[in-house]
Amino acid sequence: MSQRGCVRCGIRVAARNQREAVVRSWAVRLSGRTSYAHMYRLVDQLPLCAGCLEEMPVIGERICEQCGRSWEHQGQQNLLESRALRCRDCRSIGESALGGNRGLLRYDDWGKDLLGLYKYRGDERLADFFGKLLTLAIYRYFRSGQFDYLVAVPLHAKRLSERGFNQMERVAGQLSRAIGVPVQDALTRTKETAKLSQQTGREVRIHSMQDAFAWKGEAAHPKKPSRILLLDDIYTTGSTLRACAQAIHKDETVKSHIWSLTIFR
Amino acid sequence: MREYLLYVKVGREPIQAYVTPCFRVDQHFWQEKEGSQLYVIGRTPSLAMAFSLRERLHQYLQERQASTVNEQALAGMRQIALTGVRESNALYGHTFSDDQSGPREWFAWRERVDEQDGGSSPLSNRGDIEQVKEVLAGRALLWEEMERLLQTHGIAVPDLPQLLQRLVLSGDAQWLPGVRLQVRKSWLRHSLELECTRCGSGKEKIELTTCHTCGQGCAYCTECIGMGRSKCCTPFLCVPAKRAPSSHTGHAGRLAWSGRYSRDQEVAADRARQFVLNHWGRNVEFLIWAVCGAGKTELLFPSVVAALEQGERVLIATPRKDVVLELAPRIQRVFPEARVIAVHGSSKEKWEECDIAIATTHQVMRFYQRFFLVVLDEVDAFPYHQNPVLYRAVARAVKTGGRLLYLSATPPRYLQKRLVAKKKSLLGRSSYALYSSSHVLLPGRYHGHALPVPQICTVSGLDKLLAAGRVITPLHDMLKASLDAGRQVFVFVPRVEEVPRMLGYLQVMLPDYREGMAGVHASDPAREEKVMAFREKAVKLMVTTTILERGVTIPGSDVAVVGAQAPVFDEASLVQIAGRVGRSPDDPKGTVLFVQSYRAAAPQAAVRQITQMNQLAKQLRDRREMA
Ligand SMILES: [Zn+2]
Ligand SMILES: [Zn+2]
Ligand SMILES: [Zn+2]
Ligand SMILES: [Zn+2]
Repeated sequence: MSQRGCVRCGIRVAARNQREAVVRSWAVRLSGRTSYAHMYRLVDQLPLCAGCLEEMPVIGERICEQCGRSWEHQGQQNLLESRALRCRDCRSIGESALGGNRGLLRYDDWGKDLLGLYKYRGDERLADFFGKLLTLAIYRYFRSGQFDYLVAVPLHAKRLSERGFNQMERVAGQLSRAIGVPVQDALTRTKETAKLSQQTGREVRIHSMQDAFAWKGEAAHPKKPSRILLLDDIYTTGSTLRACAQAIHKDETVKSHIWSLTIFR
Repeated sequence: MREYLLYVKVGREPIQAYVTPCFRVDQHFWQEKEGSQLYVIGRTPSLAMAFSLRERLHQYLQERQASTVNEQALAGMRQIALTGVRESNALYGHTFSDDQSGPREWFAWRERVDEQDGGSSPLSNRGDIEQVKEVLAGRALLWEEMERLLQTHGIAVPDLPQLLQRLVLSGDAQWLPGVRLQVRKSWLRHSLELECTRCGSGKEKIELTTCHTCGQGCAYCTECIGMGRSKCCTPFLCVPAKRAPSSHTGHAGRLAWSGRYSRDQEVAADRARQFVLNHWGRNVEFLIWAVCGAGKTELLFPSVVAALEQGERVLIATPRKDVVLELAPRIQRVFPEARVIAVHGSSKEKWEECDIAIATTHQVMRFYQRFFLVVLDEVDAFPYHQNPVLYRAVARAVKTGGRLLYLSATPPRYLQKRLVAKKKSLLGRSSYALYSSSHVLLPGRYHGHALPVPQICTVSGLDKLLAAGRVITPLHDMLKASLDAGRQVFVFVPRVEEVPRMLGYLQVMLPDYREGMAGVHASDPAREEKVMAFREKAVKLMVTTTILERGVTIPGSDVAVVGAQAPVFDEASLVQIAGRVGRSPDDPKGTVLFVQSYRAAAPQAAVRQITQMNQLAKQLRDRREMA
C-alpha cells in the first residue's frame, strides 16, 4: 500500500490480514498465464484497501472473444445466444484491422469517479494506479514477449493542449517500464471528435471516427510484420480503437498484428 | 502556445518590470499614458518563469534605485534573467524524478525580440472592458473558470488576453501564475520553491509534470485540484470589487429575529459590532470565542446588520457543505430583505450577486476583495487550518479596509496568541481576558449552566484488554449507568478500523443493549441513516470516529472517548467532543469520560480548558450579581 492510503476511499491503515486474504484470492483467480507469485505481487502493489480491492469489478472468465466484454453482465437476450463466441455487437461489425480487445474491469461506479478524477480533473498521481492495473491486465491476458511495441491512443493536439496531458501516454510509459516493451509514438489524431457524451447514437460515433487518426514516420514502413498493442482507458463501442488499427494498416506495406488492451470494458 | 514577454519601463516613476502576453497593448498603453521608454528583456512560454524572473528584476531594481538605464544596465538585467532561467532549468530537472530522458531544456528563453509582435491586434473597446470588469469584480479565478463565467454571462470577447492585460495595466486586475516558482538560494545549495497562488499550498502538495499546454517545466497543485487545476501555466486572475454593490442600501440590513440574548451574549454581540463599525481602528481581525452551546450564530447578527446598513457585502465561511445548506435558509429568514446565496461546489447560484454569501472554505478562494465583512465560522475545523497561508487565501476575499471575524469554541493557539490578551491575577496566575480590542470571550452556555467537566481514567494495557474482551470497569459502569437511565451515549474511538471492533466488544460487554448499538465512520455509505436513527433514539449507543465531534447534538446524551491518548484527539477536538453533552436547557448536565492507556497531555489540557471556562463564567456571573 502506498503512503497515501487507498486511492479509492482514502483509508490509510488497512486490516493487514484481511487484505492479504483478498490479494491471495485474486492472485489465484488471475494467474492463468503467469505464476501465482507474480500475480500476487501485481495485485498486492495496487494502492487499494482490503474493501475496495475485494469489490474490484474484474471481468470474469467468460467473455466475448473479440471485444473482451463479460458475458455475465449482459441482458437476457445475449444469455440465450451464449453459445456464440462473439457478442452481437462484434458479429455486426465484420472484418476489422483490430484483432481483438481485452479489458480488465467493468466500467461501473467502482471506477467511474477514479477515472474522471484522473482524466478530467487531471490528478496525475493516479497514473501510477492505472499503470499498475494495466500491467496486471497484460499479464492476465497475454504472454510476455507477445508484442513488439505499445501504442497509446493519442488525443487531438487541441484537446491535449487544453488538458495538459494525455492520460494514456503516462500510463503507457509506466507499463512499458514494467514489462520492458517500448512505446511507439507515431500515431496522431488528425480529426477533432466531439466528446463521447455529446454524440448521439452509435452510428454517428462510428462514422465520426473514420480517418480520425494517422500513422506516421518510420513506423509506417516496417520490414516485417510487427505486433502492436494499442492502449486506451476504456472500450465503449470500440470505434476509436478500430479507427486506430485501421489507420495503422492503411499506410503499411507489411501488415501488423494489432490487438488492444483497455482498463475498462 | 502563448508566450510571455518580460520588459522594464523607464519613465517618471521608478523603473518597473512587467510581464505581458501581448506587448502591443503595453506599448500602446504606456505611450498614451506618459510616453515612457520600454526595454524588452526577453520572452518565455512559461508564465511561472516570466513572473519568477520579474521578481528577480524587482529585487535588483530595488537595490539599485536608479531612474535611468544604459546599455550596460540592460545587459546586466538580461544576465540576471538568463541566470534565473539556467538555475531553474537545472533545479527543475534535478527535482523531476520522473524524467528518463536526461538533461533537457525545461524553460525556453529568448532574448532577441526584434520582430513585431503579432501584427495589428485590435484594441478592445470600452464597452467590452466595462462588461468584463463588472462580471469579474470581486473574483479570483483560474483562466478556464473565468472563460466559463464570461460564457455564462453571454460575453464573448475575441481578444480576451489583450483586454485583461489592459485591466492589469490600469490597476483594475492582477494576474499571477496558478503555481509560482522561485529559486530559493542558500549557501549550501539552491532549491526550487513552488507555491499554489490560489490555496497557498507549498511544495509537498505540488507535483511536477510534463505539460502539453505550455510545453515547459510545469507543476500543478494537488490540494485544490477539486476546483480545477492550478498550474504554472494557468493564469490566476484577481479583480477587486471597487464599489459597494447594493442599490437598496438600508433595507437589506433589516433584522427579523424574535429570539432573545442572554446578558452575556448581548455584551459579546455588541463588542463584535463595535469592531465592525470602527472604521479608524487598526484592528482588521477579531475573534469571538464562545464555548460549545453558547449560541454563537446569533452573536453575528448585529455585526452583519452593521455591514449591510452601510451597503456592504457579507461573507460567512464555514468548513462544511452541510452547514452551508443549513445556515443559508436560517440567515435568509432573519434577513428577509437581503439577497442570501449558498456557495458550495455544486450550487447553481454561486456566481450570483448577493448581500450575504454563505460559502464553504474552498469557495472563499474564488473571491477577491469582494466583501467588507468576512466571518470564518469554526475556524479551527477548516481544512489545513494549521497552514497560515490559508489565511492569506481567505483574507483575499476581504475588501481593502474590511473586517475579518473569527468564530470558534476552540480557537487554535496561534490565533489565541495573536488576538486574545492574557491577564495576570493578584496571585500571579494568568488567565484569559474576557475581552480586548481584538476579541471577546463567552465562557458560559446560553442556558447558564456550567460545562460538564470530563473525568479522565488511565487504564494501562487498554488495547490488550479490549482485544481480550475483558471488562474495563470505569467504562462499563459509566455506559451502563447512562443506558440504564434511558440516556444515549456517543463512544468515540481514534481510527475507522476500531469502530467495528469496539462495537463488537460493547455488544458482548453490555448484552442487554446489544440491539440498540451502531457504528458509523466518515465514508460509511449508511452514515446519514445511522445518524438519523440515533437522533430518533432507535439507536442508543453510537460508536464513531472524530467525524461526529461537531454538529451532531443529541439532547440527553453522554460521551465516552476510548483511547483518548491517541494523537487524533488533540485538546480542541476533546473540548468539542465534551461540548456535545448538556447543551439542552432541559438537560444541562451529563457525563463525559476520557479513557486513556497512558497519561497524555491532550485530555488533561482539555479538562483544564473546560474548568477554566467554568471559572470565568462564574466570575462573570458573580460580578453581574454584585453590580
Ligand atoms: Zn479503499
Ligand atoms: Zn464483443
Ligand atoms: Zn492549490
Ligand atoms: Zn503547463
